[in-house]
Amino acid sequence: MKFSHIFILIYFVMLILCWKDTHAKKLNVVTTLPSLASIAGQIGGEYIEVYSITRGVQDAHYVEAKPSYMIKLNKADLLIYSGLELEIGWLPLLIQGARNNKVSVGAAGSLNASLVLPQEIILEKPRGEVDRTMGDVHPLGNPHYLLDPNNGMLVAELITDKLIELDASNQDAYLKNLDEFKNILQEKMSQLKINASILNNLEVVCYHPHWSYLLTWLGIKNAGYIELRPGIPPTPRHKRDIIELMKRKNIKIVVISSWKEPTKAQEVAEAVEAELIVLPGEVNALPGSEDYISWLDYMVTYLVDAALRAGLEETKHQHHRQRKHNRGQE
Amino acid sequence: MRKILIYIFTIINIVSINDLVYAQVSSDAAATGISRAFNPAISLNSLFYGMGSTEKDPVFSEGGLKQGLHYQEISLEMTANVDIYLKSMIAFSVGEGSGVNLEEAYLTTLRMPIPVLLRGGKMFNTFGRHNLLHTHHMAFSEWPLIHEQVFGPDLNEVSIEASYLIPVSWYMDALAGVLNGNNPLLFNSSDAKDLAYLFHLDNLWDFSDEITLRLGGSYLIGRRGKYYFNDIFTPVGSDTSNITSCVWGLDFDLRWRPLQYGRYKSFRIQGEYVNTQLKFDGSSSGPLHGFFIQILRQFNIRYWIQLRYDWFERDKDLAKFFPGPLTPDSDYGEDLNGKRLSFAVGYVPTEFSAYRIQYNWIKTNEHTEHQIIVQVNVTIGSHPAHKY
Repeated sequence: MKFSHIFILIYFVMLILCWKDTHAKKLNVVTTLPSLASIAGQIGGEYIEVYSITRGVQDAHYVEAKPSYMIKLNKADLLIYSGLELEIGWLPLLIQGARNNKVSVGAAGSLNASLVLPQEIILEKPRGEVDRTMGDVHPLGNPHYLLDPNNGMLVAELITDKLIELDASNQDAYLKNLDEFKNILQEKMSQLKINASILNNLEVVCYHPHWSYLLTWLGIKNAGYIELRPGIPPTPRHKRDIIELMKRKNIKIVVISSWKEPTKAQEVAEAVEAELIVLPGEVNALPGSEDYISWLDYMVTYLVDAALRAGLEETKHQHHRQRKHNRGQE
Repeated sequence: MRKILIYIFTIINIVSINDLVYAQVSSDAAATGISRAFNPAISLNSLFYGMGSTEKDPVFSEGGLKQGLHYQEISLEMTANVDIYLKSMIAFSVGEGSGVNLEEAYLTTLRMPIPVLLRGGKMFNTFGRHNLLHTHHMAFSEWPLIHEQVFGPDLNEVSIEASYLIPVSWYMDALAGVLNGNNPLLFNSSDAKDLAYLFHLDNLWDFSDEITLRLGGSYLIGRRGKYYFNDIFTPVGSDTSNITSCVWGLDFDLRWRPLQYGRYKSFRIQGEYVNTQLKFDGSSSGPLHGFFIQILRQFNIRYWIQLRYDWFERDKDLAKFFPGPLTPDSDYGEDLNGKRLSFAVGYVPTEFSAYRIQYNWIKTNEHTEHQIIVQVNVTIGSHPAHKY
């Protein structure tokens, strides 16, 4: 037998042998972000299997469309993604390669979580013309909306509706889990708001416009970015300008995501003796941020501690006053 | 055979599209009108270069890079979903002195009744991994030598490819394709019935979240027409219409990219081996075969260093089928060897612009050459993501 015939024979035998039906008993949910996986896991509980394509330490803007992710999507009943073009660079390739009609765009098993947000909630939608001189801007707005727990609440409700649509037999369990999740999250939000009240009107400098939703929720003001433009490292002159700004306004906190290389931010922080805060960019990016609620807790607690460590006298006074007030309430 | 293929493809599309097509063609109304929201993603890529060589006529200059300042290629690419079932991609390119060339125009299925991905049209075919790349996506300024020699330099045909994701614990993609068979070096049959057939098996394993290994095998077979027949095969028969081109290849790709600082660091070692033989009444010619291996190291957000080694060997029997490099010392009566060592430094300020300086050391039989190439690579517009 010729080599070519053997090759073709092996090829088709392999196809036939490997052809099998794979039906999972649990609903198979794939998310693009760990935060979405965490919320889905809380709602779906024991009735779903959840897999997040990206890891917490990963920058979700720059994920490579590894074929192994296609395998995950090939078996998925539901795909939940952030939307607002966060995953535009890799998710379309994965969906196409997955060959799974259930999760193709527009199918019942494809859920763009950003669609639950009212338009006015979405921050940093560019006004006027958009072009590449503005750096890596998101034309549809900042996609890191889960940094605001109010949005997490909306997304949890959306996921619940979708799980019920796909698996009505477990509707009661999903609704019960949603109630529990909302209660816990609401309680945590109240507690964090009280603790973080000392941060109200505090000015910080961020390395990249990642934290806008968190800062807005906490009432923190962002005075400037260390990056020249989103995704573009700073020039020496821009760094000098930011340092001057921080000195002039007495800004003592620099915030950076855990997936950003910190050298430039460190240089700026050292120049003004400011505190460099590395916050977990996503759920499970750093120890202590293993799920959505602990992630929020970690960030707020760390910001408060850092503000105190940075030696902000006014912050300290505010904090003492707040503690007294809290004790009084108790 | 070609008619059968066309029927199959048409039936599949009809099965997928159902009544929608009929609803659409039976009416003069258009649901979307001239809304610009449905315009395709359009991008334009420009490749410019300057080259200096120790030789007046660089050894692989035929269809390749030339001395002086030039534009290598201007490429216009458009991508959009046609409807719920199909995605379309069209790319035109203009090379210096080559006019406008339809580089690719193909459809990919978005939904199928069975878990198979179909791709049909004029396109870079899935032989190995490198053949799928557009010029602006290549790690070096030129194609690997073995691809230039065998495909001249790419396998780009009107064809249909079907791929199926085999349900094993790792990624295994099995692909079969039917090509028109008009590659000028491999097929170029004057008989319109002569098609070529392509098979590719692609495997990828995740050793960890940061390291992957890809191994693939390709096989391509098709009849070569009478057009290229010469007296080389006269000892084995007199029928001049039964020469077959058989090409097989192996490819590997080992990648590392850290999870946390993945935008700043990466490492990749990739290679392909390609072997070509002509067959005639049970006899085989000597081979035209070779490989390339390249190492790509990103050491911060903007800088890369790259190394590539190319090698090929052509049996003298194949000299008139695969002419090889045109050099003053070309001798069709001898076996031909070629090798090239390339070193490049890349500066990539953003996703949309890149600068590369590359050094080539080239040796073919008795011919030695040194080249320096500076390349500028710019993209404007909305360019679709590249495959892994």
